[in-house]
Amino acid sequence: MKLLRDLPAYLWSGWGAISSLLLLMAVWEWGNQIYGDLVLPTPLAAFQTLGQLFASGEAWTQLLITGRRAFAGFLFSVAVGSTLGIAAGLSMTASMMSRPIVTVLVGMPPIAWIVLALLWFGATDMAPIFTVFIACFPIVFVGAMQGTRTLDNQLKDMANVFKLPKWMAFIDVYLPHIFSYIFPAWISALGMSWKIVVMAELLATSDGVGAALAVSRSHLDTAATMAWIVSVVALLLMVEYLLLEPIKREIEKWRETGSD
Amino acid sequence: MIKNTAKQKSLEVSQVSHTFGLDDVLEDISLSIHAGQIIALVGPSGCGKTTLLRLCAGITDLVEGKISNSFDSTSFMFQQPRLLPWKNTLDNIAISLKARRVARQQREALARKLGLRMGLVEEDFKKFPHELSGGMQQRAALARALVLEPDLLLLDEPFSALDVGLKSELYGLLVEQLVHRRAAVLMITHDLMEATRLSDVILLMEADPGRIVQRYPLDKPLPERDDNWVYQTTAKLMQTPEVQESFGLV
Ligand SMILES: Nc1ncnc2c1ncn2[C@@H]1O[C@H](COP(=O)(O)OP(=O)(O)OP(=O)(O)O)[C@@H](O)[C@H]1O
Ligand SMILES: [Mg+2]
Repeated sequence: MKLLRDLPAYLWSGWGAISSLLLLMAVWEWGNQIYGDLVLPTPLAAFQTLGQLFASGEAWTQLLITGRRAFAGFLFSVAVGSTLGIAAGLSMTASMMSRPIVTVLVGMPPIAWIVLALLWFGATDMAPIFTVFIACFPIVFVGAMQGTRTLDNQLKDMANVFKLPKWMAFIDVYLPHIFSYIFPAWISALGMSWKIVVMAELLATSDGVGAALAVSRSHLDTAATMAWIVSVVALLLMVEYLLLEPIKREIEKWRETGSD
Repeated sequence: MIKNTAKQKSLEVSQVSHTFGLDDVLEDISLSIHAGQIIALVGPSGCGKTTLLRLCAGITDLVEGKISNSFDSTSFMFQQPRLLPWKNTLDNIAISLKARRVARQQREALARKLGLRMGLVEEDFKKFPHELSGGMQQRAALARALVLEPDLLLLDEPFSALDVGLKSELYGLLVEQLVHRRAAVLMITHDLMEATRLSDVILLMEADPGRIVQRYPLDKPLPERDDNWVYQTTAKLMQTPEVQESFGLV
């Protein structure tokens, strides 16, 4: 597949990213020298702790729990956001009406949702899942709505002139256009879900990476804290650059901006 | 030759007027086109040529007047290529075949054949529209309009982005389509020489509101029109007061 053929070149282009990560490590190390182990442990200490966490299976367990929650909330927001967004895009009135609601949803700090979720669902799985859903929803919704709103008459004329049957006009003409807006929104939402879920867990649950962070904080275990942070960030980077970015490139090859 | 054997297929436009909001864009347009005929529509920018063609194709709703089309299949080529950006050239050309449920292999073969005749090369077929030059996009769009072998072709400035060599090659192709299948063509052009070379009748339009001010029948059969004749006839047309006025030369 083309995806695999491009992989070496793609990885090679990652050198820039890796060197900037190394630079970050250097700054981290430097910070350790200034502030001492209690405030900021060395990267080495953090990675060692991380290694132990993985060796004991603790890291896998918690990451799996967190990942499941993030993904559930994300999928839910994709399903609901895309459907409602497309529906709203089809009607001028609906998109006008949804604007202020979206603004409110976007402007609402996630922490407020977490508190509400705690009140509504208690310390259950539903609290972080709901928070992720409600934080991702407006992103997906706006992407879907814009994709549908920007369907222009030119595309409709095209479909008319060549007498495309309805299903074909939808699959071959309208859907790719809408999808080119929705897909980037999905990706932003996925990144968002990962950040939100940790925050929600920190406050609302007794398991998951967020909860583990809360525990290590209460133990003043900075090394473990950094270890958990590293694991979360690394996972996000891996999903982003090894999975989503190549898919995005493949799907959007036809875009002028997407080409190299 | 085959006159009166069957009812002649034709497109009849009678007393069509059109307005966009308060703008009178077309006024009292009548024309008819029969199988085997090429009609060229010339006139200044903004005089309503595209609007008239869109009315003929039924893309724009008719407001006033009557249009009847007895051709079996009608094809339309937009002024801008309007290829689907997410489909490669071959799939773009084949889109109307896909709409008719022609099997993939067969439609790709047909699209490829026509694309090659349009001067596209094999590598172009896999490219996306944004990777093609303007002229290539136009040829792909023309191929897309021709691939169904329609018997009425409505072409909006089909050759405007092509160089001289390609133009004359595609003229040949169009004439061939016409003679072989007795297709009819209604074609918009800004190029009076092109109109002279290709058409049986030139309709000259004027703006505000758009109307047909002159009809120039050209009786010489297409294959007999050499460069000399084309130059001379074009020059003669350019001298007429109507053409001079329509193109703002006076
Ligand atoms: N959809 C539309 N809504 C409103 N006005 C329109 C629309 N389409 C065309 N017009 C107007 O109708 C007039 C004729 O436009 P048209 O596109 O038919 O011109 P044209 O003869 O094809 O010009 P050109 O040679 O530049 O392509 C113009 O004044 C244009 O502004
Ligand atoms: Mg036009």
